[in-house]
Amino acid sequence: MYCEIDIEHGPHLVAADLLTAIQPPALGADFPLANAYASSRRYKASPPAGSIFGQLTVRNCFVIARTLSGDVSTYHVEGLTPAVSARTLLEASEMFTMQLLAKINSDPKTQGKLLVIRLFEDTGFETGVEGQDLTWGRALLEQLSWKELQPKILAAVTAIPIIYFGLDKKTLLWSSLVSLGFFVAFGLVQATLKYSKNRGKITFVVRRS
Amino acid sequence: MSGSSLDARIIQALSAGQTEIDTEVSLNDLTADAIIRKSDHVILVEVKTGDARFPLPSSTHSQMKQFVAEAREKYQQRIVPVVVTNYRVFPEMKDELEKDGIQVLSVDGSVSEIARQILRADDVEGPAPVSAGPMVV
Repeated sequence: MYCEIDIEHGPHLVAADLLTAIQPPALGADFPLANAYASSRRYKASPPAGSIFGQLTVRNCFVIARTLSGDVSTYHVEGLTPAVSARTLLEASEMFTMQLLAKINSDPKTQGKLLVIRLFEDTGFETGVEGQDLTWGRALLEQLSWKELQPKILAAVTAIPIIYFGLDKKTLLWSSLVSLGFFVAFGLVQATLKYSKNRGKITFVVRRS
Repeated sequence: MSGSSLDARIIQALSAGQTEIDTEVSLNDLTADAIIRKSDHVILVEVKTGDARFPLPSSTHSQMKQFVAEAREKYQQRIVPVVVTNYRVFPEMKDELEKDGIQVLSVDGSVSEIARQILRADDVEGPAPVSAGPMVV
């Protein structure tokens, strides 16, 4: 298995400055491309026409800086041996991404943000596991997802016929609205706490086909 | 377009009215999304879809070369490889793929139009077939 990391850079990107900032040994020891291709289950039999550089990284993994096209730079991360598990590979990818962003974000000519980390099988098949930065918006969407809202909306809607058939309208109507309001307020607080706690970390989700 | 159903709609549009099409074709370790068998050649279709903000995976070229080598061994015919994608395709990557005879179709129209373009892929005069062995770096 391997990961591809895509970094989206800002409008002031200077390619030469970026390459100077990240090439070995800035983020890890040099690993000649020929050795990197030979170690890669993906590229061993079918190496690419050209890459930028290879280097070693954490967790017994290596990185091939693959391309810098337009405003996106792409990095291939793979285990040096098949013994490197998918979980370890994802951790190594996250750590390399953090190191890379820390290195490049002090300079407007090199700065960037994570677009996505994607996990692939050795055959090149996309597994659907993708890693992206956790934003407050995403944390809020998770807390106010339809799955979470559904029971509360259901409770509010079922209150209507109960009220119509002559029960204590004011108490039930207001209690339903207050209940929904508390749920939304709770969701906002939860999202803010989740975002504060996990900001800077990458969350992985499995995209279902 | 959502990536999750786009694959299926493209393959469905491709399959409509076609008798010489196989889907999910096993080629040793690989699985081709679709193979269209013609009298003197085979169109190999690989669909890559997802979030349209993301670039086409950089391993696509390597993967397609392996696909072509495996398909040539199986079908013993000229192989016309086609990548269909809604990912961003940078000019450099497109040039690199097309240099090896791999056509790239971007999904920016209807799926039926994409299917028509795929079926016309053999009409495009491309470079020499991809070599079966590894490229010299």
